[in-house]
Amino acid sequence: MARFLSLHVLLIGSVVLYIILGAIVFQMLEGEHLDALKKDHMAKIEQNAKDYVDKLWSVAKRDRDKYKNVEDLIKSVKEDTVDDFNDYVDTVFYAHRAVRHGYDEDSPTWDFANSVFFTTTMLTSIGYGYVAPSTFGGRLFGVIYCLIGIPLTLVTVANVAKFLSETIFFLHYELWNKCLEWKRKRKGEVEADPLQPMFGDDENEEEILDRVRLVRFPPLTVFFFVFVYGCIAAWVVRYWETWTYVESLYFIFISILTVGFGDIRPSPGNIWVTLAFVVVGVILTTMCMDVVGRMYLKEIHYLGRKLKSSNPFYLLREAKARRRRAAMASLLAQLAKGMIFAHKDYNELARKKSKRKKEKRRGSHVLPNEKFMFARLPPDPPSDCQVVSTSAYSVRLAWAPPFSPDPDLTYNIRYRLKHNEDAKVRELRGIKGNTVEIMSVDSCSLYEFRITAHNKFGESKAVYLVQYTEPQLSPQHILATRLNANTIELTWEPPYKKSHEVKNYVVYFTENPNASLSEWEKIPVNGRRVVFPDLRFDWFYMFSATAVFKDGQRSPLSRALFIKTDKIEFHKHCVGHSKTIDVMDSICEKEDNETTALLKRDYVSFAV
Amino acid sequence: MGRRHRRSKVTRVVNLVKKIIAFFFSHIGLCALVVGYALLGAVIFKAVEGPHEAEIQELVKSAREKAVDVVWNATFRVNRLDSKQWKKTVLDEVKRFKTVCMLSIRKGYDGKEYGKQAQWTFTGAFLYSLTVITTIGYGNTAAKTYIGKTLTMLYAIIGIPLMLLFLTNIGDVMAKIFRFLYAQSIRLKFRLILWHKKRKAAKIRRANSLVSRLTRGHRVKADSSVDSFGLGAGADVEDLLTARVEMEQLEVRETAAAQLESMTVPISLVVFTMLGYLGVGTTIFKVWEGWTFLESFYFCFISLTTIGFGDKFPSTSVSNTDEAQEKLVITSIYLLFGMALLAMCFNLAQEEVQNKTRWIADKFRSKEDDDD
Repeated sequence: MARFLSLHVLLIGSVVLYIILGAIVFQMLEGEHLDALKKDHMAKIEQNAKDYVDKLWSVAKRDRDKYKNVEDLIKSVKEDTVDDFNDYVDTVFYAHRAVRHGYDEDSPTWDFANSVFFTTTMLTSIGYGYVAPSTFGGRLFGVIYCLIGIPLTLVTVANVAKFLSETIFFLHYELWNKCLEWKRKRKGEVEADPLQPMFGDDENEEEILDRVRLVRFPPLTVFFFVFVYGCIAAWVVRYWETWTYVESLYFIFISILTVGFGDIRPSPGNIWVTLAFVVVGVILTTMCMDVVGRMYLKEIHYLGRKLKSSNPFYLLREAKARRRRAAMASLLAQLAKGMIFAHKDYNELARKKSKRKKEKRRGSHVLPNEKFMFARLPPDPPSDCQVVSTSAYSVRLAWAPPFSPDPDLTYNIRYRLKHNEDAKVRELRGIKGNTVEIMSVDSCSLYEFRITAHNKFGESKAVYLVQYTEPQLSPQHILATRLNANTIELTWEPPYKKSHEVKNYVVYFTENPNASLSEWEKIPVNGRRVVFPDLRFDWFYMFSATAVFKDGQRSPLSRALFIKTDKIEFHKHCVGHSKTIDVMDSICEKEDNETTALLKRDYVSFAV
Repeated sequence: MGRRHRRSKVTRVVNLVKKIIAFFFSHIGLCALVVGYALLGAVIFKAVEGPHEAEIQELVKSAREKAVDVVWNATFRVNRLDSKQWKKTVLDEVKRFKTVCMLSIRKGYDGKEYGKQAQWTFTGAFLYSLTVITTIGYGNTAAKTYIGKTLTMLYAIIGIPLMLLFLTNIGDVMAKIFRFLYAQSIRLKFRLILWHKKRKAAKIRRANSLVSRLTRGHRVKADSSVDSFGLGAGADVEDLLTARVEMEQLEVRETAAAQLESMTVPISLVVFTMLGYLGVGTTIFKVWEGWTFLESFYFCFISLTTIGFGDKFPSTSVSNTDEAQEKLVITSIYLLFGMALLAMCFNLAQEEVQNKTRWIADKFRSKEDDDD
């Protein structure tokens, strides 16, 4: 608390002290010179007026006898004295420019109030110019004063503006919370558990986004706030002046935006009030630019950069999703850091407002970061995706379930014809389980399938599969199964068209990948199942099937299947047994002699 | 067929809008937008404030005519030969005219005859628009009418954020260019140093070969033990010198690599660049306006920090019209480019200050660890 406030107080105190010191120095340097300057300019004007009048008199006197008509004389005198009159007007103009507002009844001087006004508006770069340094020392000191003072003032104004924006954000959040509680009470719901986290696990994403949109600082509110402040300040300042409301509004806005023309000037009695309003207005404008700039400058850059890619509709959806994610991320980051509640000042504010709810508020101060982030991740992509079998009009897919923090997993599949660029993309949503059969696809076509896993927090990356569909008259849904390490079973379904009766089937298979079809082996099959025993171990086999109809014709070949047999298996009874022991026994018995020991030898010693 | 045609048409329109928006949010688009906005402001303010200025000039002219006529009428009513009384009457009228003139200056009169030269020319209005959106605000030229003031407020509220966006963007781009040039200059500097080191190494190698040749020549005549001792000493010296030179080269390369990796422009260079730009402006305005050095520097400084008192302003003297307009244009260009340069310097200095702050924070943290 002490550290938090002392920084602000230290900065503000430094700036105020710096302003007062500068005011005193400027007063010393410039005070007398301004009066001397004004007197000098007034004397010049008087002298120029006298010169003009003398010129008029001399010219009139000289030319009086030339012209009999009075009008001609006047015209001639006017033409001769135009230059002198212009000099007179220029002198008046220079006097006004050198000492602006200097010839009114209440003209500004370098007293303390005006000096403070001058230094404050100089450091905030408003710069009215009611009084301005005109001596060598004053100007040199002004340059050095600004070099040191402007960064200090900018830092202080930014600091106070940030403090204000945080306070307004906090108040806005509290107000929104009160509205929520009031809505719950009106609906008659039970009060929420204070220990419950802010975002329930079963909440819908759209509700979370609505809250994010509410909690997020709306830019129109900031602009409206500054605008209303400007209108109120204009009305208050006008109370002491003879300005119209538009003039007062003009003065306030030109001051708040730090343009500072200086064509309109407040009266001496109104300097302090005007200065206070202008300084607070500058702080509010800085806060406004800070908040809006921080939020929207990146979006503007993002728009400019992202619009170069193609597919505008996908782009718009992507941009919307990205903005949504960014909003959630920014909100969660702010909450996780405890930016609102971690400050001691805010804690005390909360305690002062509602002492009765101390225990409730403490429970929901800071959300646990790890649990929160972990529980809301999208799932992993599905693994081991494969096409089980295909027919002319359907495809069977299967996959293994992926890891996901949320057990409620559904799958989305998009598929389209791969060879056609303008093909329509069809989509299946909400698939549960690990297998699916996609109906109503075209026969003899190449299809691309895109499988994603989906939970309430997002969608996983996609897995792509590509597969052909069968002709109509071929055997359908050919499925190869390994019964054993070197035994393969083929099963299939009959062709779709019933006009031709099937007599039997012919299965082609080969173990040579480079063989042409005429070299493949053929096996006629009467049913819809065939078993291939005693195949080679660890080898690739290709299978294809065709149907033979009763009128002697054959159907087209089905799509080829690639199957790999497993490696050789070991028999258990062979492990650890060796014939060498028998050999050793026979050798040992032959060597029984008189010199041999009576006990049988140990084989280990025999080996040595 | 109809569907395809309609879709392609819609796609074409969407692509066109896409390209337009991308262009306007790019750097060139932002520059064009700012300049276009200033030109638009120039046109509007000239149209609004020009008639008012003409009205004021007409007022002053009629006041002058009236003053002179009153003087002459009074002259011929009173005895025409009494010079003291005549002069007194004329002085009173001239002073009354001065009061009217002062009041008109407050309302926008700039001391020039109607038709000869106007304050709200296109270039004058352009400079006014520029001072509004850059928040300089000299105030020598200011809106006087009701509509002019209202338009100035709206113009400022829309233009100032646009100007801030432009300065942020241009500041980033110019900071990158400056950093790139600085990196190139560092590489050039270290390449020169390396070349110098290599030449030094070549000299040393040549000297070593001469020494070895002399030693070999001396070997034929002298004692063998002395020969072996001298040759060994020469070899050791050669190796030491060669190793030292190579170590120096390696050190230079590592220094260059370290500096290029950090890639931060020092603050002194940033400050020097800014002072150089101020110096150029000071020289220009000193030559033009006959100001002293401090007055010119003061004007440039007050302008680029957007304070803008307005006590010093170019082309205040009643001089040639074309020359005055040219000065206004060059002043506008100087201010716009100066703003961008200031934004660039601010970016670079901010980065350097952040690095220094991080270094200080690390030092404090290590100090706290030592205390713990």
